[in-house]
Amino acid sequence: MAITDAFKKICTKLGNNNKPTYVVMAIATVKGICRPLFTMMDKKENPETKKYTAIREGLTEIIAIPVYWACGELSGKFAHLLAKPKNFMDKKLYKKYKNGFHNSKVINAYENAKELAENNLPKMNKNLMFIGVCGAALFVIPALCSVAIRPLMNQLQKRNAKKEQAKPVYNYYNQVLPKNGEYKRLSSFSNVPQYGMKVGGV
Amino acid sequence: MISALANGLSNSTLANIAQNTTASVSIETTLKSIGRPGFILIDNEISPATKKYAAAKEFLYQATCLAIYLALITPVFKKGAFALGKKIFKDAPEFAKFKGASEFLDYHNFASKSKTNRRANLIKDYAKNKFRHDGLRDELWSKDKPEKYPLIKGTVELGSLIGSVLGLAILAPQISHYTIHPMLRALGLEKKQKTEKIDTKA
Repeated sequence: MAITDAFKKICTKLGNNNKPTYVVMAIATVKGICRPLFTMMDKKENPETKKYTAIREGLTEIIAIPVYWACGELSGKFAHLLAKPKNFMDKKLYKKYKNGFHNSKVINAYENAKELAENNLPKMNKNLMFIGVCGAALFVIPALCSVAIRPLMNQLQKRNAKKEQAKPVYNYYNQVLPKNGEYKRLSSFSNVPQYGMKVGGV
Repeated sequence: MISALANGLSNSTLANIAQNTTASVSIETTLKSIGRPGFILIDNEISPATKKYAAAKEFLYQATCLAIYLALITPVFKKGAFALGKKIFKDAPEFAKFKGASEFLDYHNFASKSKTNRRANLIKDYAKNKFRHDGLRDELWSKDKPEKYPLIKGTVELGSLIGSVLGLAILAPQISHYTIHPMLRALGLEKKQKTEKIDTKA
């Protein structure tokens, strides 16, 4: 019963206030875990490409999660600036109200506009949040990704290249090729097979 | 200008879209399918062939996501969540008032409108015979703020949210993995890979 009650609470809360940021953040979180995982599980792809793609996909979602939240919440804050009586009443009447002409017509118009602004505040908040999230999906995230991911990936590639250079490479064929026009002594060749599975030995 | 903006942001339809998981995810995915390839195409540091390949891949991925989402996840999870809610929340009689998720969401749309707007829509031909049971039509017609049943709304939204996460973060990458490469080959973008050395990591 406790689980049912918890679900009931969650559902009621979501029904009263379903922020546009919830779904995008949930999708980005799961995507950030699953997409790189699926990429790494792909057996056909080259390991280096897999690693690169998985890191890039993970980074995209790591950037996306806070950007969605910030854009949604920040945009929503503008609702308070816009939900004011002067935006919901005739300009001339508002000027009169501001200049102190407080007759019944002006006061009625102002009261109506005030009520309208209060009633519309939640709607405006949700709409602005939605616009913020759309802006994040359309501009902010792709822009941030193209600015931040490329240098990060380049650095990773450079680091990998340095590691590759530092590794001593054993080349079987170099042993066979003559050095300074002279062949090596036969005893210097390894008699261990240089291919296939190694069984025992050094 | 600001008044027009404030009035536009007070739009009930936009507020309904912003609070509707399915609608908002569909719009965001459409925007992503434009924004992400767009940013790849304007990146001057990538070669033209790579840009074309990466932009086409990203567009096809987002388009696949949208198709999967609209075709499979939305109907299944919305309807499923309503049916499941009816079974789980036995102490919530409001579920019995609606035939299904679609009728509830239709009702919720009407309930979110202002009384004048709602009445004007209820007498239109398409809505004349709607909600003629369980006192729903009376509720919409006579009350200033009709009951919106947040528990049902939240249940449907939670279903859509879970469906969105499963669809876009788990199912879509798997399906797109099998569909994108044949599509890219059909567009003639993967053939060039062999001759022009396209950076498929981009």
